[in-house]
Amino acid sequence: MPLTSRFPIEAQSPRISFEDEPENVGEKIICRVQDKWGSQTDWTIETVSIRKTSQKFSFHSSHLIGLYCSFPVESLDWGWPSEEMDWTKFRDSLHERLSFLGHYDVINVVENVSPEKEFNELASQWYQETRKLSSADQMVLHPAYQKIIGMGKDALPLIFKELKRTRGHWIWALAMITRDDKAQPGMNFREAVDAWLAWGENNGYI
Amino acid sequence: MSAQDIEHEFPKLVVDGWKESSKDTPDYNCFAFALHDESDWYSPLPLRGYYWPADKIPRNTTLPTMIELYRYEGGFEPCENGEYEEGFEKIALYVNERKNVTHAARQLSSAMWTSKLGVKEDIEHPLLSSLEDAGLKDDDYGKVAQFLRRPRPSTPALAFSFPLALPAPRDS
Repeated sequence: MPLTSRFPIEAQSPRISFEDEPENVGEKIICRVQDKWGSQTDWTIETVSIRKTSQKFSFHSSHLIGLYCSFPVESLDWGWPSEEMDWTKFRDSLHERLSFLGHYDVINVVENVSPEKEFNELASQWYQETRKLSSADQMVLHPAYQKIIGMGKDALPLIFKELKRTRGHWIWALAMITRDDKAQPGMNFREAVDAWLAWGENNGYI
Repeated sequence: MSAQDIEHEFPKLVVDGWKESSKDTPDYNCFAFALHDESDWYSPLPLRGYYWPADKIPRNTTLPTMIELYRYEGGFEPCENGEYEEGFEKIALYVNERKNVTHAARQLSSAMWTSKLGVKEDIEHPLLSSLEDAGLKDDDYGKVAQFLRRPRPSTPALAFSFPLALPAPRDS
């Protein structure tokens, strides 16, 4: 097993390779890496903003089980650029980092995912794997649900759409993303869902 | 879930038998349903919309906590087994490998058990074991680890502890 990372790498999806520059905010590239022991981790690169002169990317890792660790590039230390950068610089610095770590080997880029497609896939997985659970804490700790929370405010319209359709257990995700609780003390679940839907409508999410 | 889905999730039901007793709803869960409550979702999650008597009970779903919950909310006390006893209502608590209570089933006066399956339907099933060890590791209910009981509300035995909920005593 090689101990150094190698770039560029081939994409499984024909739509994008790691050489291609993302064109839209929200575009994501999932980069699957493998360490020297064969353990695989998905790193997600998300386009946060695109400007005429610069782009900004965030960097997620799924290697923390059940939690989506998100941190913007500019906040990273140990030799990482602190300013916004273009795609080439970003890609090069990612390469540099993986090389620096030494024991990571990038094996492929899985796909470029739109937020809606990603949400729908995660929500479908979550419904399927939690439908018989009665423990809400177990439901919201499910990795797919945590990833939806990790999508941040981009996910709010999609979550509200699901909440309106199913009246299911989306209020925890909404509370985590908005960092607020729109229900009133003493409300039961049905009433809390109504309160969140009213807030979503008043704020243009529905 | 369709009947097919339910039997896929709990294959033992195919042999043991079961019937649907209500449509699916995310409004209440099995922990509430065991207490005849069809308007609350009992959960220690600290968010409005979820019910938990946090001033009385710790915010967790371990077996000791859930025993306290049912004692506080419904006057249930631990008992030896799930055999039908005239005049008593029983609850069975399922515990998974992580030592958390995952499910509660309530015994009906017919001696059948009734369960709310997550956000899905309420069902009636003759055997508690039908729902045991039926899933992937993370959604498995585990095994029945505790039985609780209280005087059945419609019997005179409950008159002492729940006088307002009782009809007039039966003629003996």
